[in-house]
Amino acid sequence: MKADMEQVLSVLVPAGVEFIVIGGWAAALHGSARSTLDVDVVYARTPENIRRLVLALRPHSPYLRGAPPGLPFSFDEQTVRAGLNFTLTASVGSLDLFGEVPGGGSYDALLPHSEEVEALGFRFRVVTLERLIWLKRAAGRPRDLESIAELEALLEERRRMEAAGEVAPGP
Amino acid sequence: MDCCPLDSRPIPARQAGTPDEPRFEPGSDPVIELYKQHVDRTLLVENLRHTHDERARRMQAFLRALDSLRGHARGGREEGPE
Repeated sequence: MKADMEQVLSVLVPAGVEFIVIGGWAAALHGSARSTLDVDVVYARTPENIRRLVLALRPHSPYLRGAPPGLPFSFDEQTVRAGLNFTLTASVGSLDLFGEVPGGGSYDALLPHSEEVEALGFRFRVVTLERLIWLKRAAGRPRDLESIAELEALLEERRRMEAAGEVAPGP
Repeated sequence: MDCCPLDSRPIPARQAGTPDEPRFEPGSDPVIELYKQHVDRTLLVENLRHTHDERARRMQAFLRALDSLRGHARGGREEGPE
């Protein structure tokens, strides 16, 4: 299942779901050259946002990724309230929903460390490059070492280019 | 541009250097520095010259092409050898 960001955005953004893009797609938006196989977002855990999220995603058959077919899984408000993080496959692509992330906390905690971007015809929030590095380091996964190195090199290059006036300063 | 009302709550300004706000210090992790030696910076610099939209469209196009290739590969395997 591909990470179809455009389709995921076309479901979440018009529905008014409050979310922040993290993970590989956040890295790509900041300039990473590494590909990613799913879309990771941190969503707000307010009752209203959970309702929006469920209403937006339900028509796209969300199901637990990697789970055997036929499990009694229902993506509804009760399920989302009772759970926190969900690794899903849906007709719009693979989607990881995080109520909280290690090193980043909840949506509200991450919000000051996010920026608004316009891409693929939508306006949405993405975690800052600095905080993305922080999150990757906090996750402490050996497989992230190459990714962290690339993101830190990206940040160094961005700062160098900003200082030289080659690109506009970030937020 | 399709847009929807974003979170209208005021966003507190980031304060760089506070304990909550990480400051990137180059060379702070020797393991990461080792990995960093193998990063192709020319590609990163090229990407930095693009907008968010351009970066996203390139990634999306790459992933769709990859998905199409995988579909062709699956089709070939299902047909089997002549």
